[in-house]
Amino acid sequence: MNFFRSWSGINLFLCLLLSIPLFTIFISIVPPKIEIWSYLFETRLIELLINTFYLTIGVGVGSFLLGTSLAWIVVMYEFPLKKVFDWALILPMAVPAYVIGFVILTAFEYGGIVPGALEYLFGIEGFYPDIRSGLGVIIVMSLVLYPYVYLLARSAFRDQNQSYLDAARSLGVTQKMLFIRVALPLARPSIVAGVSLALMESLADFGTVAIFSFDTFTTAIYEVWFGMYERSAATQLASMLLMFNFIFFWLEYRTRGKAVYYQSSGASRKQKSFRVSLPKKIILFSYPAIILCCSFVFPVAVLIYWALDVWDMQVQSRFFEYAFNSLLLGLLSGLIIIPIALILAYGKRLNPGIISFLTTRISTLGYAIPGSVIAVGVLIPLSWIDYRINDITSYLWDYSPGLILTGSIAAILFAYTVRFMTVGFNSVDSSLLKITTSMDMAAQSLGLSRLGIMKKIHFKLIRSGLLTGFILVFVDVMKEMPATLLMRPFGFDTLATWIWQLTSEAMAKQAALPALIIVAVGLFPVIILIGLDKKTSFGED
Amino acid sequence: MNQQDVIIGLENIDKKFQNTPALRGLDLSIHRNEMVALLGPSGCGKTTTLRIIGGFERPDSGLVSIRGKCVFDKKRFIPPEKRKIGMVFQDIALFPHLSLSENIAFGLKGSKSDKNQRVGEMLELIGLVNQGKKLPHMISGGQQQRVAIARALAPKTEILLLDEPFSSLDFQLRRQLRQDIKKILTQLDVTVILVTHDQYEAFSFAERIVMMHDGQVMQDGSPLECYQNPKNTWVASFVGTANFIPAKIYEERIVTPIGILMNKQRETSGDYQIMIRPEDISILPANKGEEQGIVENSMFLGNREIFFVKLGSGQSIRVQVQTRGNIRLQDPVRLHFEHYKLFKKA
Repeated sequence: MNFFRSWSGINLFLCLLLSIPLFTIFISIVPPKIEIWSYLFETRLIELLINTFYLTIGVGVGSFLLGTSLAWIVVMYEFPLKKVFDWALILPMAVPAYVIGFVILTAFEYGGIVPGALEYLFGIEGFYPDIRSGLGVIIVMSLVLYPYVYLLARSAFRDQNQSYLDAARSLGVTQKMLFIRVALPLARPSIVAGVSLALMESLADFGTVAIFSFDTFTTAIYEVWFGMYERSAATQLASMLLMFNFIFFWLEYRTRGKAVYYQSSGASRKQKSFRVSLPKKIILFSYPAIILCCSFVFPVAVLIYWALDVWDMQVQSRFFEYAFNSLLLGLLSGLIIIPIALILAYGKRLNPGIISFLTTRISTLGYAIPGSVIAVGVLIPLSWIDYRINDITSYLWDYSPGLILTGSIAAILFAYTVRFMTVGFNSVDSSLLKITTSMDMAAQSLGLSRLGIMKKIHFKLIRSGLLTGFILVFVDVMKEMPATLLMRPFGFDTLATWIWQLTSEAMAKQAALPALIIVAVGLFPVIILIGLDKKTSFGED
Repeated sequence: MNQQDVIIGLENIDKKFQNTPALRGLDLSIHRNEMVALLGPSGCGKTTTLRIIGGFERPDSGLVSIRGKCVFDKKRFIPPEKRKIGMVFQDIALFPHLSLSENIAFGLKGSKSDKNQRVGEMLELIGLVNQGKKLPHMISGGQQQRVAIARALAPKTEILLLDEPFSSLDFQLRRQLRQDIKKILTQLDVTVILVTHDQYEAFSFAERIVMMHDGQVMQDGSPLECYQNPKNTWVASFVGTANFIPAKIYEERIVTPIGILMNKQRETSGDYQIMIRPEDISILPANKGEEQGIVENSMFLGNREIFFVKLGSGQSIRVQVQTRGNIRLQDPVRLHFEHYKLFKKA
């Protein structure tokens, strides 16, 4: 019995361990380092702030427009292949923004596919739009991040009671005005939450902005850290980025709670689609088709084409080594994160209350913290420990082992654990929440011990949740770029960092194969998501 | 009532949903300031009828007119927002992001002060003065439904459609709210159509009942008429409880297992079913050998008792009487009745 009581102690310990990076960044802000800030201010802070502002507004507007309009069309109108678009529009989630970024960039460049095709097909020459710009970044990110808004807006529209729309019409609102006057205001909390998620992703992004040479905090942290070895400046930049990200994190959290009131209660009439004429149907079909082409079909097709084009060179290169590294990191992270997530979730279940709520909440903040920030937050304490170790060994034995922890696989795994604990925890916790306490009581009354309940009931019921969590962690680790770039040991590469290397050396075609692998792996969680989605949305049919 | 008074007219309406007929040649006229209930089991077409009047469904064929103007025929379809008909929904459907005042003002046009004045009037009408700033989730279900009615009536609506407006509320609240709303609506010059599957709701709310079954009108009349003088066995059994006992008419006599009656209405000879309401039967203890049936089950409901009496033929009859406490299970009894209704067997 004592064992179960001491569980909250374990949770507290894990929580402290996992909040080290966040804590490091926090204490680095106080007291404010005036000379570093003034140095940053003189050099690049203004540009970074302007760029971040531009990016936030642009991606915010872009993902809002795309996500909301697509969701409305798919929910409310009848048009060809509507049921396919319904789930296919989620697919861009499988593609990391940096992959679409380098595909589009390369495809539009001099001698690229798009200008070539335009010249060949229509005789248009010299079509080279200035893609490598802020606008280019915004378009690319909006194309990849709109599914966050789409998913939440779509379920908001779908759950909206038909009676709301009918009531509005009986009060004199025309069919065209329903979206503005009723549907949009009602879906607002969900849409704000979706846009916040998209913005958190765009702020945390490193690869896309790096490829487009569009400086934001993530690229600045990288440059300051590696190019100038200015650790404290990098830390200050990280703290600023963290602050921006927490704004959207808070916004998302707050509006999510609010969305509950906006759902209909009680029995509701099924949503009726609008009937439209054939020309309108064609327009309604073309719009999602074009978006899906730009954000998924075209990039993937180009990647396949390139991968086949340079196949022989790929095989000779170090593809398998890097793929193995990615695989290894993914598997190890899953093996670390899922058990810890299970301990946290179980502790919360055994001892519900404010302490377990806070410990789990803090332990799972990682998703709100950009990878570059976590990397800095992990590297600083680790290098401190490394120096102390060297101090001690050189004092005792006159020997310096060098940096043991910094630049080790263990350090990267720790950073991943902090960053992706949320993903693992959420899937474990949600599957654990489905087991009601009366099930526990029923089992206890039938003579099962607590350990027996765990083995015979809980474990059996959460197995699929554990597996889902594992897959999600694995995929996120495969895609992860900024933390890995900052922390990898010398000469160690993963598929993601390799893509970055190749693209920064203008060898985009060679990057196609690793990118395809990441996209293919990334499809798994999206397929899981689509499966869940179908279960909930078509369950009533 | 003359033809001038007809405010809503449905003529020969057909409507199918995926080849299942919902309405079959429905004819219905509603007069100005009438309070009508469309009553029937789920799937009878009552809600479809209401939604056709509101403009939320298009009939497959037929003619719909409102205030003497055609709103639907082969060539025409006036959308709901142009029909000036208020509607209140089962799930209440107050806009959750708007305050009570904003909800009531949603359909209003004109200047801000005009709107405010009208909202104030409506809040007073429904007894929620000074609560206009609240959001819908902050008030009770009954209050929400009153606001929904205020919202529907606010644009000076003459026609109000109520689609099972009380069924999302619990029993006690439902009865109270029904009385409140009836009181509010009878003060106003408004034509009300209530859709419900609950006969008590229909009886206590409306002055005219339109009974529907399988997309057709079964009976159209006052609540009392429908109860006491049902047109067919379906109406008889849907409204209240009914015992159906086989009967035979020979010239001047009606022969039933529980007695022989005079054929006063001069029905033709043949096989009939006789319908008797449980409360129209009285029950008397009988000596062994003289009984018409045996009490096989009973329910005690405080001031009333219900007995199930098994007749010699094997049929079970439901009897409802004032509680006296002189009859027990397995007692031999005789039955006596006066009110009844005859239906000729097809």
